[in-house]
Amino acid sequence: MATPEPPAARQHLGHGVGLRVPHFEQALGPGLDVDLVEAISENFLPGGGRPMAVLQRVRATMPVVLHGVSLAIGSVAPLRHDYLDRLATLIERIEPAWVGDHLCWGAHGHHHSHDLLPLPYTEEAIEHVVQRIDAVQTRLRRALVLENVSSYVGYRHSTMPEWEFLREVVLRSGASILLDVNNVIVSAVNFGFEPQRYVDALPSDRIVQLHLANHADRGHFRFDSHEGPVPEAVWQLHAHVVRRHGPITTIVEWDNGLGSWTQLREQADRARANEAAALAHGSATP
Amino acid sequence: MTTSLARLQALFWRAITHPSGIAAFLRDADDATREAFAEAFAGTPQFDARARMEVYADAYFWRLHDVLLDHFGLLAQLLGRDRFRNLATDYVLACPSTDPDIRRFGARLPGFVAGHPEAARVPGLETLAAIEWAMVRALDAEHAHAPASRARLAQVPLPQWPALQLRLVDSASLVDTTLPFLALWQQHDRDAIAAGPLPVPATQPRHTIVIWRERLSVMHRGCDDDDEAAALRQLGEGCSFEALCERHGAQPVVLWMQRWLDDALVCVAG
Repeated sequence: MATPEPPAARQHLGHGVGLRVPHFEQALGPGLDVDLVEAISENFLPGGGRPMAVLQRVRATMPVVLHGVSLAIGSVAPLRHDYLDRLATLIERIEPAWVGDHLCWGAHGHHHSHDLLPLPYTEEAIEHVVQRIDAVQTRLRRALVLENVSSYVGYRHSTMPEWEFLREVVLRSGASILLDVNNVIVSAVNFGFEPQRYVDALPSDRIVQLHLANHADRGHFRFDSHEGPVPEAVWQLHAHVVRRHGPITTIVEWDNGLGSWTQLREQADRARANEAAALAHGSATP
Repeated sequence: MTTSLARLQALFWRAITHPSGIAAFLRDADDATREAFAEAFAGTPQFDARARMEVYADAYFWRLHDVLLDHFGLLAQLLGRDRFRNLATDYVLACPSTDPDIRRFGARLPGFVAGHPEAARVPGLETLAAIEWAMVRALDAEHAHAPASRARLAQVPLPQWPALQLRLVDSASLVDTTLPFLALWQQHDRDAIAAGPLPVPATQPRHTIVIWRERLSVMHRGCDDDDEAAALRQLGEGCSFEALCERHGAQPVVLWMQRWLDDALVCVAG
C-alpha cells in the first residue's frame, strides 16, 4: 500500500447548503448568498448544459465541495475506473476544496443500488475499505472525505461500534471525516446508543465538514428524510460537536419538499449562529 | 480476505432486490438462505431484522421508480400511475442500474418498452420514451463545438463554403414517431399522473421530432418533412455543405440552414 495521502486540511470555509436543482435559477440569477455550496458529484459528471453552467457560475463566486453518492467504497465489486476518470475530470474543472463520498457500500457486481448500504463493523471490512480508499486517493491525487451514513440494520458479525470503525478507517487510510450530525441521531435511535458517545470518540483533527438535515419519525425507527428544516435535536448535537471538536465547515441538506431559497439560506445562517453560541458557552475540547 | 464481506453483500443484495420484498424473499428462500439471513442481520423485538431490511428493499425500488417518473413524466401520464409503476417494476427487474449516475438509469427504457406488453396497447409508446430520454440527454450533454451563428458563418469566405464541415450539436437527437407527440406534450402535467391513463392516442403518419439544447434550455420541434429529417441525419454523421446541397439541392438547404442557425442546431466541426 502506498503511503496515505495527508488528510484534507481543516479549513473552515463557513456555512452553506447542498446545491440542488431548484436552486439553479437563484444561482444563475441573483446568486447564492451563502459561504459555500456542496455539489453532488454525479449530477455534474456529464459535464455540460445547465448543471455545469450553474456549477461554474457558483464556483466563480465561492468555494465548492464535491460530495458523491456512488463510489461504493465498501463494496466488494471492483472499483469503477470509468467513474473515477469522470470524477477526476470534474475535479480538474471545478477545483473543489475537497472531495467526499460515504463510508458504505452500494454496488454489487456490475449493478448499483443508488443507496447507502451499511457495512459490518469488522476488521475484515476495515482492511477492505482502507485498501480501496488508497486506490481512490492515488487515482484522484487527494485525500477523501468520508461521511457516516444513516443505518437501519446491523450485522451480527460486527465486532466494534460504528464510531470505532469510522475512526479506524480514517486513521489507517489518511481519509478525513464528514460528520453527518443527523445521521448520528438517526442511527443512535435505530440502534439505541448515545449520540454524544459517537461524537466524542472521533478524532477532532480528522473532521473537516459537518452535515445538518432533518429526519422522519416513523414510529419504531427514524428515517433520514432530508425533508424540512433541521430539527432541534440536530441543532443540540451540532452544538455538542462544536464544543467538542471546534468550529467546522457546515452544510445544511434539504432535498425533499424544498422550501424557498430564503428558508434554506436561513438554515445556513442558523448553523453559523449555533456554532458561535456553542463556542461562546463552552470551549472546544479536542 | 473479503470472503465474509462478499457473502454478506451477496445476501443483502439478493434480499433487497427480490421482486416482492423481504418477507417474500424469505418465504421463497431455501433453509440455508433463511439461516444465513438470521445469522447475518440483527434486529430488536420492536424492529426486527426483516422489517429493517424492508426499509432498504423499499428504498431500492422507489428510488429507481422515482427517477424514471422524473425523466419519463409524459409516458407516466399516458399510462397512469398504476400501469407506469408496473412498467417501472418490470424494468427495474430486467435492467438493473449499471451506471454510477442514477440519471442514466433510464437509458435502456425505450428499448425495453418496445418489447413490453404496454407497447402493444399503445402503439408507438417506445418512441415517446425515446423522445423523453433524448430530452434528458440533451439537458447536460457537453457540446464539443458551440452552435454556429449567422455572424460566424457570414465571415466564411464564399470559396470555403463547399468544404465547410457541418454537424448537429452534440445534444441533438432525432426520433421517428407515429404518436401525436406535439399534441401530447401540450397536455403534459406532472401532477396529473394520479388522474389515471390518458386515452390511447390515434396514430399519425410517421414523422420526425428533433430534440436539442439551445443555451441552457431543452428544445424540441417536428421536422418540416422527411427531407429535412434526412438532412439533419446527414448532419448528425457530419458532412460538408457541398454534400448536403448535392443530396437535397441548394435552395432547400439554404432555407433550412437559416432555421438551423436560429435554432442553434448546427455547429462547424474542427
